[in-house]
Amino acid sequence: MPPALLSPPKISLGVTEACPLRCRHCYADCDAAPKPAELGIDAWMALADRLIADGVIQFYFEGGEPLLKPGFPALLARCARDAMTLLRTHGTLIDDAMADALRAAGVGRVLVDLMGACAGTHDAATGVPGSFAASCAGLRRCAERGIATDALVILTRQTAPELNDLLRLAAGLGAERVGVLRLYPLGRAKRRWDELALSLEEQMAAIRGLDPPPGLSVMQSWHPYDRNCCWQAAAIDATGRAIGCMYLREYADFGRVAGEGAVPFLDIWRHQPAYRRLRAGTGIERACGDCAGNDGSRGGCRASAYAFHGRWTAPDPFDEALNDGIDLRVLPGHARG
Amino acid sequence: MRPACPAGGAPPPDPGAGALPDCVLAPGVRLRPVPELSTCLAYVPGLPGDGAGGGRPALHRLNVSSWLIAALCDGRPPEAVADAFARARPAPADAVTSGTDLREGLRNLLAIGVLRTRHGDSPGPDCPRKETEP
Ligand code: SF4
Repeated sequence: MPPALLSPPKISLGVTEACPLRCRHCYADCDAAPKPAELGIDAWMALADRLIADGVIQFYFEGGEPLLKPGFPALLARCARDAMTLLRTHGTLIDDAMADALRAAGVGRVLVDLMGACAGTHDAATGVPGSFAASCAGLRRCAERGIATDALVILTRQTAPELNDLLRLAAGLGAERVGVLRLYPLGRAKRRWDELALSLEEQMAAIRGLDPPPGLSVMQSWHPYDRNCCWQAAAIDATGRAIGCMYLREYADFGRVAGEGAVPFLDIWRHQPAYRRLRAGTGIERACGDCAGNDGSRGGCRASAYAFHGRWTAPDPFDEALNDGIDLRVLPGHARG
Repeated sequence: MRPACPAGGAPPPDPGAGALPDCVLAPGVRLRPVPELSTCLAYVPGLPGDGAGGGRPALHRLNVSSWLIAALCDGRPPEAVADAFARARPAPADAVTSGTDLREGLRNLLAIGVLRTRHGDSPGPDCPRKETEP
């Protein structure tokens, strides 16, 4: 079966792996300084032009902290002229001037990561005192300007007891939605997995206990919403590698789209065999009927499945129907890195 | 109650009766057909100067009928849009149903800001339609 799409309508760009925070779970293993091989803003501009010409109509920017990338507002504005833009940020750099700049650039949605519902939990996760207050203020500034704004929280041992407080906090700050995200064994999260990870039973209890205040919607990717969204996934990391999805950053490298040896992204999309297989979703060993029924995808998240099984075709152990007794608090040897 | 025009101008005229409204793509709107999924994505950029919450950028997923209508509103007069829609639209093909669906489609596309009426209730200059083929 061939992949469903001839070209990608949507793409994620991890524009930098620099960040002023020091989160203990950071998937990109960020530092305060950018990595030496990161693309400059001119290369991102050229890439954005090409991607738009090839049919991309939604950009999801993340990092690192995208707002730390020199020239980022201009890149955002260029993309927002022709495409929906989503910006994932920890929000600490969104002062009044930056919030005004985001609005002027035409950003479509801002998604602010919160690592807890109080300063104690959040600042312990980021390693930076005062970051909780700054993130909350950044979120509020966006919402006050009428920018569609979400909060995001990764479900960990530390955040689980505070989820409902976090929902109320986010609503109070003006967020319209909260995304509760699963933890991935990537970067520093992989190395500190024991300290962060919950069992699936604990995760499901937290998800089932969610009690959002009126008017706030909650997004979650556990049963029955465990999608295999690889069929439409496109992502480029800070150094210009096509990696399918940001959650595949340590497992996939489909080729370079900028810098030495680069080929156009569309060529990689159309011809790279492993990428085609991933998007086609062929050979998935088992799927959850309820989750598959949701959007026709099969087998749940490929990054989680690969991390725990080492096979692209394996079932996703974060899905109750596919877990097979796997203890998600324990990373298998191959995933420890 | 009819929805307010998301582009921040006056509410769109009610195309429920009488002559069809004369519609074109709204300024800056970009259509991105995805024929593999029988759909078309439509990006509606936010317009500077709108109040909080108004004029937000949005990405809409159009069904085949709305896609057809948006594509036909390329500057041709409303009667030509209606003719082309009646000819191109999949069954049922009778004139009464086709006319109703066209009105409904125009109403929805005006409400979400993909279309505007040609002579004026959305701010900004005319913007040529931009399409990107997948
Ligand atoms: S790796 Fe998971 S989150 Fe990423 S696109 Fe695939 S299924 Fe979706």
